[in-house]
Amino acid sequence: MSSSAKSSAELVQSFDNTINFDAEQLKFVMFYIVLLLALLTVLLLYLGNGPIPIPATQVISSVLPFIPWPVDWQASAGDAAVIQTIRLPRALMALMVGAGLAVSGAAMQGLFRNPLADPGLLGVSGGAALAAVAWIVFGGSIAQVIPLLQHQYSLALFAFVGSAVASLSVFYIADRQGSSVAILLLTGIAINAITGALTGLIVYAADDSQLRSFTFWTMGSLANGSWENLRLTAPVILCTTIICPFFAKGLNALLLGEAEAQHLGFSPRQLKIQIIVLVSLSVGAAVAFCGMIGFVGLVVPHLVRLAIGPDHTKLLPACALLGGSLLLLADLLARSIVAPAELPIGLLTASLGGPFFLWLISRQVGRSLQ
Amino acid sequence: MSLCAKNISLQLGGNKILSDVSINLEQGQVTALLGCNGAGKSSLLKIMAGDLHASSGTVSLDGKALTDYRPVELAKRRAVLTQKSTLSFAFPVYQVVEMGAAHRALARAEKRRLIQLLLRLTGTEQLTLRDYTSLSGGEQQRVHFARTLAQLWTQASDMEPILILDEPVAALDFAWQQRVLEITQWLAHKKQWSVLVVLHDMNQAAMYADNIYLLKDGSCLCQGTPNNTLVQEHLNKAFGVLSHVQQHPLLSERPHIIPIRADLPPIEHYLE
Repeated sequence: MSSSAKSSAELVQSFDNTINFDAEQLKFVMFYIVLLLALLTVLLLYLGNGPIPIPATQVISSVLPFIPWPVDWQASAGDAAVIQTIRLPRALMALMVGAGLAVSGAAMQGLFRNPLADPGLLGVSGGAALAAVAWIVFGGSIAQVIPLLQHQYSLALFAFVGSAVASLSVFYIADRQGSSVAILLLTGIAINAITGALTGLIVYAADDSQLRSFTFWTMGSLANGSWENLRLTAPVILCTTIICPFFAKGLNALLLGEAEAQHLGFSPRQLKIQIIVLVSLSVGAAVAFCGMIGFVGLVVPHLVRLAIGPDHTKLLPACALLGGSLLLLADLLARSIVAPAELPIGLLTASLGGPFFLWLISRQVGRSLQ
Repeated sequence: MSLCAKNISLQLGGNKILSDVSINLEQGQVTALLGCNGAGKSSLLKIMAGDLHASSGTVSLDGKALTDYRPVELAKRRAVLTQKSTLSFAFPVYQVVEMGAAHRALARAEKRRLIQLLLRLTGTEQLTLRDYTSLSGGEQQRVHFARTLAQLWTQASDMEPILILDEPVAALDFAWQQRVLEITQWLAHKKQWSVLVVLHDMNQAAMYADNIYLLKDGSCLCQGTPNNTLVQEHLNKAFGVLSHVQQHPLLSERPHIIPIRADLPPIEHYLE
């Protein structure tokens, strides 16, 4: 009897210290503010840096010319043009692509219930690479037969279609075998192997200059960041990035298991289709114009989870902000390290992301051993 | 009416798992599924929850086939606690409980109160901000129990909530085994919920169940009150355990089972 009296006394006591939900909420708000500030800082640095350095005040006045800034903030017409026509669209492209890749990565990791998943698992990049190399090698002869295809967007279009076909075939094959996520993963691996082999086959047939342009394509570049290209990619990536967080609760539930998600009122199959379509569109648009940029989709969600936990309602928007800023920063480095030349950005993200990821893994191993 | 399964048979890869089982959940009662390992309890429970489709037979809720409901509609009516959840992401405990209320239109303050109440009820309040993956198995099970309750707790509805629990106390300590079953029984008796629960401990079934289905090799051996089902003959037939059944020394309307030994050859027999 005495023990039950004691436990009820404890119970009464514990009623007094309520959970501080507001402090938790504040933590998330602070994190978002920090992310936004970081993004703005990197953006200012990015726009000001280059062959012609431009001070921050003048950067601000040229980005927002419709505000009456003080006279000494005004940039010269030439500087303003550099920012408005060259640096700003490229910066926006970096933000878009970074955000798209990071959000897609986070969504894939949720879908596969595995923090090591990335959009590549769906065959998106493999399909895009196959189609891209096919265009680079055979494009000339194809365009002779169908002159309509002789267009500056042909490579992008091919890559986009390739990524869509690969990811949709992964989904359809997996879906016929039952709805399990494990089968989706295995199918993705198989499709990736097939596209990889076919890509190799075409590369084997390529001549030196074709090989060179394909190699550069696989290393990624934001040099295509013009207003013209942005008009095509931005709507796709922006829409998918905004829509993705609406599936956040479903992704959370899916982490409990597919049956559990169903019990909680979500349809795992529907959710899978929606996420796959969003990710294919987003990554397809990014890969089409910027080639393969690795590790953003893998590392950014990890970083955000370390800071604010795995809740997708908060994770996905934060990934968009951090992914954008990091890719912007990477492109800033890519442009300045070997200036006036520039490094392929995929090299930079992989060479910085790789070691970081190793550190992350060793840290996780250490934690699970404790 | 509520949830009932009629003439359920299930075949998986040539193995007959269930044959012609019918089961009815009664409002305000705890219905327990008992049986030895592989008797088909979990399969039957999965069919009742809508996770598995029976080879033949129907499951209906309020007279309408379970497959005709959308997941959201079902989520508002019934909650399921599965044996093992795959959650391997480091959610803080309160967010796991919050997932249970994903489809409830609750104001933020109400939702917080609900989460807090359930954390207290399941003794996990001091774990609120802890990383779920760092909890012990029993603590995790209590968090999932809280999450399952969050789905239906004080839901404003004319229809009674349905709670399906697959071995809810398997990982729990002595105290929490009692407590979780007390809560379950309280929900049925005091709040008129319909409860279906898979149990392994005969005395827990005797104490907390109102209606028992005893499964043996995929079919129903017997069904009824604990006093009618938990008798020596049935226990021997279903489990191969010799036991002595007496009236519970404190609760006269409930049986009390004293297991004597498994009805198997002596251990030495296997050494030769």
